Amino acid sequence: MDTGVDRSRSPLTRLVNLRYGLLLVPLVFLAVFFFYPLISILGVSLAPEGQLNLGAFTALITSSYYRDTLVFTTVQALLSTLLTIGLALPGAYIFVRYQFPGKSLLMALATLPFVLPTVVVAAAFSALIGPRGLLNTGLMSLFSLDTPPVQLDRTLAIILIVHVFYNYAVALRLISGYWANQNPRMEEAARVLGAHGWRLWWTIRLPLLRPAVLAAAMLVFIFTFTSFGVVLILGGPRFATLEVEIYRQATGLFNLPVAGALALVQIVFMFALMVVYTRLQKRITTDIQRAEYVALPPRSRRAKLMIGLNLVMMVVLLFAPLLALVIRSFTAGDSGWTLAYYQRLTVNTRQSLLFVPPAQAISNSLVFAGITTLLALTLGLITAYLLSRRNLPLVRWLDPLFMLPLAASAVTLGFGFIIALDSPPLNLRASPLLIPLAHTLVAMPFVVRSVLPALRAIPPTVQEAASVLGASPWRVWRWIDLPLISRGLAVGATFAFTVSMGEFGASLFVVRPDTPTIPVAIFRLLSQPGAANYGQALALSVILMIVSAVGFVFIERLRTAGIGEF
Amino acid sequence: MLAVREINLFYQHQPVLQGIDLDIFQGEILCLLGASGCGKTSLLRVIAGLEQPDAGDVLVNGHSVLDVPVHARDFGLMFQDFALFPHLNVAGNVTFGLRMHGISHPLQQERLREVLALVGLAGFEERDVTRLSGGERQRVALARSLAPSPRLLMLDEPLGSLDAQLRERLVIELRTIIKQAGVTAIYVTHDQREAFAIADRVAVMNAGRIQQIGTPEVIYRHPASVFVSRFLGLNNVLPVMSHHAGIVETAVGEFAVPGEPAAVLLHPDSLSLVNDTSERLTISGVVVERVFSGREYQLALALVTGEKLTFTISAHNGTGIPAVGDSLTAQIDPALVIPLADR
Amino acid sequence: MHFRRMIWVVVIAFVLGVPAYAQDEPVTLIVVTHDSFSVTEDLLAQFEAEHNIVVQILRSGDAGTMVNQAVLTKDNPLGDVLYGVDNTFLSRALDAGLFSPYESPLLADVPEEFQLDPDYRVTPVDYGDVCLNYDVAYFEENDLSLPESLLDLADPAYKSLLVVENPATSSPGLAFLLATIDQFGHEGDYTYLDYWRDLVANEVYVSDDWSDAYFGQFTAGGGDGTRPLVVSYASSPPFTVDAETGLPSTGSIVADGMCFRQIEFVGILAGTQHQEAAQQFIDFMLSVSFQEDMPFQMYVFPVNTQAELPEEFAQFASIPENPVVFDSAEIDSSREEWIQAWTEVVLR
Repeated sequence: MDTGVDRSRSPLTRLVNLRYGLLLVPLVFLAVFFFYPLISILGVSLAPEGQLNLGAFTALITSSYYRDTLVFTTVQALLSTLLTIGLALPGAYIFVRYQFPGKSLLMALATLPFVLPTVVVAAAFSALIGPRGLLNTGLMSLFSLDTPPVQLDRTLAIILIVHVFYNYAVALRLISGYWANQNPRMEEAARVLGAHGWRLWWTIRLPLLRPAVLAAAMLVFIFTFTSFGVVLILGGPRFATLEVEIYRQATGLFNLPVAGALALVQIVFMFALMVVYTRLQKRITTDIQRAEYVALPPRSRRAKLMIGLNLVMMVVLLFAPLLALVIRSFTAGDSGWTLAYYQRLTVNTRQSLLFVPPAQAISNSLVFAGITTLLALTLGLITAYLLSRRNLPLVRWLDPLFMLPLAASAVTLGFGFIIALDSPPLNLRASPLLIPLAHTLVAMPFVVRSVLPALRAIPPTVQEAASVLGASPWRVWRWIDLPLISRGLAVGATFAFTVSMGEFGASLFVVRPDTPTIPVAIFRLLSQPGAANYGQALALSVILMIVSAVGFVFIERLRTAGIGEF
Repeated sequence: MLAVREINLFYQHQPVLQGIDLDIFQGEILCLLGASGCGKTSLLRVIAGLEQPDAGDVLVNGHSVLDVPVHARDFGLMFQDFALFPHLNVAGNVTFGLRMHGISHPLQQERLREVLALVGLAGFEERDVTRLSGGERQRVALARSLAPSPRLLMLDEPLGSLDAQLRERLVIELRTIIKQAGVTAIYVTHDQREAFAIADRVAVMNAGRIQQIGTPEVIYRHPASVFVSRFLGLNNVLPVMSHHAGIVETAVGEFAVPGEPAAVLLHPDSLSLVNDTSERLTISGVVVERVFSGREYQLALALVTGEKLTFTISAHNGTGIPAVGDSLTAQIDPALVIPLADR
Repeated sequence: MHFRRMIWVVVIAFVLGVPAYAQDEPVTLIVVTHDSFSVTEDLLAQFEAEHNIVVQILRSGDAGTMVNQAVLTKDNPLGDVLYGVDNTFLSRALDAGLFSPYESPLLADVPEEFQLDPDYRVTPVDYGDVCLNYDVAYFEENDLSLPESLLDLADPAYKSLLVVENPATSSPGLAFLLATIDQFGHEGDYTYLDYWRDLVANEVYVSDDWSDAYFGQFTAGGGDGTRPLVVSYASSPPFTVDAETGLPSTGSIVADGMCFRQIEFVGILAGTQHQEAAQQFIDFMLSVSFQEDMPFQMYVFPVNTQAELPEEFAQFASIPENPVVFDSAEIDSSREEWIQAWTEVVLR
């Protein structure tokens, strides 16, 4: 509509321009801190003399070993994803439907595995189901067996179990968050029409939950596809994902061309998958009625049984390993119950420069996690706004692009940082800032994925109503959008915080001055021999869990206090 | 066909349904009429099996169905917001129940065509339900509920989300479709015009209890209580001050009515302008409002005793209609003075 | 008048003061190293004060990652000094031309056997031997004698007792593989691959990293492991000394041919602006005080013969008499081939 007014000079237009300018910020961030380093290292790896060397690719294509690796990587990721979603769905069901004591505590606990280093998790599982673990010794004495009956060590089964352990909360949070906002009448209609049991799941619940299930499945798939520590330590050398192979090639064998080619294969594979995913995601447009589930105390015996079964599953799968870890931190070294490991953490017996007082590691971790959360929230929010504008032509390609940092191999990106960010004004390769920047790359997709559905669901009429009532764009955002997306924002913030608290792979591959985080301090303790160091590593892991849990609660409080429930 | 016995339901320790007793006969349309929050939707949900009552029983042909799960009750339920499945097209929505009942594909298609024709949506099979208009969605929802030929069809404010004009047209259509389908139905609404138009019998509900059940005519002519009377917009309610030997005394005068009512209703049709002072039931007042609506006039009278009563007079009376400001003395037809209980 | 005099005072103070201050400005020396580098804080502070140098430590993962990063950035180095390249990675670092030569006067106290680069581009700092560690209690309780050679490990008596690390992902794993290659060779009737086949038949357990092998699989690591023999370092046992008994719960086996010697080097990164400070730092690392500080900070042995070992080290950390020493260039050229062949035999 042409109103005849020169709109280019109106304050409104300037504001709109400013807004589009703002949208460039995450793009620039991604370009500078992700694509530039990535392309640099791929260039050096694949075209060492400035000329593209396709030898590495030929090697990949002709070798059955790499083909098998790709197949294994995909298959285990697929199985892990199916298993995680399959277990998280009933969990989400009871979290959405029923009110029961300890619910929010359970949710926080379920998220804790995310922050734990793999070696520690491996130790926890070994204490539970290892050959000398609780389960086996119990079974052996019960049935007077000579050999441990449960032998999961080095099997695909243990990889899958630990992948579920790590990713359960991702699926649970994303799916239950979406489900709670769905119209419960749809399901009741189906039941009246004769659907029940698995047919109800298959014909109604799953199709209606598709956006959330897809988002969760995508994230879990990416995580397990690029799984490093779990496969390396629990799977043993017989199993290798592409990510493990990239690490072996890059640091063990100095075979940068092959490592680069593998990294490229991984990224292209993931990108293709994400494009498919965003397509699938966009086909659902639900302008259908919105309502909300009200969680009620369970009434029927069946409901109570279901809650019970689910809690047992969560306890066995998630909390038993965590609990084993806590117990071992007080009992490691077979010397009975002791606080010694916690006490020793604070004592620098050898006046070592390497020594990290726990308070310092905690404050480093919190500072990095704080910066990461703020950066990821800011950039992620802007990105989500960008992506929620469906009329923007490039959105279909931008969405998967912003997910890509999750798929990049950490060692490749670490090398990329040091060769790309090596001169002013971007001489950051040895800056402590690089750690939160690297964390932000990983955390941003979480914020985007958590906020975007909520943002897309805000009817434009609500914003227009606010504008008509005299709210400036900023105030519309503050008083309309922000409260409406606060739940998604809190989920995103929790994930960003968690990613940073627990992230360790990227920190390992960037060059950094001495600013040890809790995971780095745990790693240092585990690189020194002696049971005392082991005990201290477990103690510090417990501290990491506590600090993270306090962080979750704080974020949740911040949301309800600062933004308000809607 | 369906019997509801002594149903009690509590929601977070608040009573929602209290001692509900109800019988629905084969082939009839029963309407639950009441203001929002009166428990009518909860009663539907109990009958459907979506809620378990705290006490009481639901019987179909004499057999309790309380232990029969929702999906096996073979009932139909149409929601106020229709709850169409957004991931399925019209055909997918309508045949959903058939698929759940294991009906073969050719039979599904046949039934699909049949019910779509019945609701006037022939040819809509492949349409996306998110792109239908409100009226079309309502028909799809109805077709979906009818398709499996349920023993009992329940409709929860099926016209609630549509605009008034569409509603008036659809309510007649709805009755025709339900009657054609030959299905027993329970219809929930808060709109008495809708209820009277569609129902064979109406049950008026208030605060979790059924106040009165009867044909629309009986309900309208003989509301049983002050509540029902006022709910139907019959506001000429006069409290009874005393009664003895079949005569009750009100502020307006004395009426001969049986029993010991708490109040009496002077039905709007009870006023007769023929001035015959020999009649005992005479009222006098000043006309304060006169509204002409084609077939009839509405006269509001301010009585000398202070009450304001409203009556309708057929327009056939022609010229004798008093104007605003006129004094009027008129007779009340004793047959249209209705005793009301207090509830 | 007062005002003008004050300006003069300020100007003169600047003219005199700023250059004087600039002369005292300490040199910042950036030392690039791996994650295990450590030193007693006071000792480093003393060095900094003495030479008016501020040492900034940059860490970058394990030794392999570090060397790789250094090679990638050799045109624009990350720092002035690089410490932590060992003899398995040495020739790659040297071939890449990372270092500028410096011959420390303190090398006089360092035995020839450690000085692998005749051009003094790198200077040896410490060494450590990758040896088998054993659980003392296990061997006592089961009345089992210790293996005395690599071949013993293939003996059914030691079935399911050994855990080793994957040479593709772990530096002690590679060292142990090299020890077997040194002993059995890759030609003849019984090559190192035949030996590894026997180990596999004897149910050797392969871990992907040292932490998992030591804490997860070894019986005396504090975790819930089940194997009393692990590939670790000769310097590990002093860290398992029990506070009550004063005795270590583990020991190392240092029989001939069973240990591989890792020597760690320091070098000045080519292109540094602080050549003098870098040389002073290398002298500092070779000094007796630093050399005596190393064992408990980094679990390694000093190369300087003047340095004395701490008591617990002297007592419980054995030094093999005839460790395996390998040519660095041969390691670099054959590493990939050996690891691939090993992977085929052991893991497939």
